[in-house]
Amino acid sequence: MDSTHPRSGSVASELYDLLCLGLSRLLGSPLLPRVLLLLPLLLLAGRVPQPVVHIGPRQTVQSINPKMGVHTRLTDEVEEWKIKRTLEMVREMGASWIVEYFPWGYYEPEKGRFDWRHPDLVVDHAIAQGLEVVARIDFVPGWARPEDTTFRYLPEESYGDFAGFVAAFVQHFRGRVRYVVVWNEPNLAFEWGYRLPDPESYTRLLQQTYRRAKEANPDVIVLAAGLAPTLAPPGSEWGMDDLEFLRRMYAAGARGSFDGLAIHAYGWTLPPDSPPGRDSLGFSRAELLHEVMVENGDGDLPCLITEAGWNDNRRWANAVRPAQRIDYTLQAYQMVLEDWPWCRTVAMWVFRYPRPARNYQDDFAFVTPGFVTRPIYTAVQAYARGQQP
Amino acid sequence: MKHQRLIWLLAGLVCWALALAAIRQVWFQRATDPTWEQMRASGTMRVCMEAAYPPFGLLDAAGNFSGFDVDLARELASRWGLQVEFVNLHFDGLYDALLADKCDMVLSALPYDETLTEDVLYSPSYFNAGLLLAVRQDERRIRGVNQLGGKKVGVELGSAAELEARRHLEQGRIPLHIVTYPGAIEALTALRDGEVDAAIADSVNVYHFTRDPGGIRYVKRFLSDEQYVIALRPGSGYTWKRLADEIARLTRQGFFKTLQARWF
Repeated sequence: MDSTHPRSGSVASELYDLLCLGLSRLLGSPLLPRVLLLLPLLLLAGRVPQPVVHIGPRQTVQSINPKMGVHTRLTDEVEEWKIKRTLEMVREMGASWIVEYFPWGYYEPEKGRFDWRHPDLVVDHAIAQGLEVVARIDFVPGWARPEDTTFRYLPEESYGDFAGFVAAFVQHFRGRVRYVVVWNEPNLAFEWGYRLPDPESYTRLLQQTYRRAKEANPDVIVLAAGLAPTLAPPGSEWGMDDLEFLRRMYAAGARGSFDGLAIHAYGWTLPPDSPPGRDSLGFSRAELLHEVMVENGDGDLPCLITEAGWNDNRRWANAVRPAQRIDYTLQAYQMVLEDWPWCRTVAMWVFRYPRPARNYQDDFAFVTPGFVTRPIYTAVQAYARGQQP
Repeated sequence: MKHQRLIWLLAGLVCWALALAAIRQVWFQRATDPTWEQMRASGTMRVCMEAAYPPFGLLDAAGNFSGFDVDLARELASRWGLQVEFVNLHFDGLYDALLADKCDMVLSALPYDETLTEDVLYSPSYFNAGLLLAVRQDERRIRGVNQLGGKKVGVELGSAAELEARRHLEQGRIPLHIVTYPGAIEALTALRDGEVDAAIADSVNVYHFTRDPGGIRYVKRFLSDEQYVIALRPGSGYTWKRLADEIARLTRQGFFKTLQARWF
């Protein structure tokens, strides 16, 4: 024996020989014991490392303004860590509310077959970050509409299918999602499947959906759709004035078929405190929609601004300068907190896109697809922490 | 034997004729470039433009187009013996208009977009609208961002310039002090007045301010690029070649410097 050979090596070698001998006698093959000894190593080597994303402990949003919200866009976000990071950043910014889009066509690809895996991820991560989720539901699956129609086209005979999906949604997310928005901007022809906007027909959709949703989950708060702020003239093939649309909904018997109203309140180039006018569009147009509710005896129902904000694209006619955007956004958050008790939240469009749109839409975002914070994020965060600008 | 030679000769000639035709097709793509053919046939070069983006494109009350891009379009058309016709559109409709054959090209301070290179043909860049570092005329120590440590740097609040300054502060670990202003002009004015030691702004504003009111200069190396290009429909290879040649020629001849002096 080599005198330099370590003693421990000799012991190990003897142990190894003993083990192999014992196993080969037991199994009747001299090769098999070696394979068995190496098996754990082979298993470890063959294992593909997976990214591990944990939901994590429940967090709390720290903010001086509990009405602050943002519209996230996680529908097409595939990677779980990005979903988590987005929602962490929402919390870190100081927003307590998110509005998210849940397309029916994605989650009920065949009638009666539901796939909740992706929305579960979004909702569970949002809850873990301490965020209240408002779910906007629309997008008609192919099986619920005629051929050669768009995913915004919901024929009246499929209203029951839509209501059934919303019922399944609120049942599945009971205790996790309290607010659902029925459809999106039905006063635009595009959002109504390139048909003339029809407030009476939308009211029938709302009524059916409300009944089914409440049967499935009495705690859910059903919101009538946010209407697109528009001054479309009567008879326009593209859209209907939002105030007129809401009035006609009431005339068609919408009262009692929603627990609150979603509002879209883009500021365009006007500051948030610019007085509302029937012939102008701006953030404070929300007051006029609330007035219509008051006129119809629904003044005590809450409003949730599910889309709002300003854009700072250099090339878009409806944009403002970046500094104005920051100023107006902070003013709007404060205005809703102090002056609009009927408004429960204001969710600014849009927190982050999964990928760049490569047009002016990118300049609505607070955070880039690569998670770089834009200055508006920092300013809103400072505001939420009570820091002076 | 004679017949065989003749057949070989004829076959060889046919092969050469086919090869030359193919070479001609490749070299002179004009024959398969509908954009060029259409422009030559009509005698007009139709240019899609957002004439609401000074100083590149403007439209006055009388319907007259003017600006850096307008001058460039006129120069190109004149060199090609064409009339120019402007189609005024919103920026977001420019690509669709081009692809729907509403115009022959988009010439409208159009930033290069690497995601669209399979949808349109982009000319070489004719202008860089990226960010520049500006300093006072008498400043000699600041030659780039590396000398900004401990200096006050003015930027437009919320702009790409602020993001760039933050990037140098946070990722480049250059301990500069960012001072924000409502606009780029205000940041450059603060620089001239001595409130800050440097300013970051887009080249259009920097060029403009350097000339009028002056008092500042800029470091020639761009901090970021935003290259303006001309877009053509796919299949416009010959037009693209002519365009690329003209841009190179105009650069050599100092045409863009003249335009810059005229418009900034």
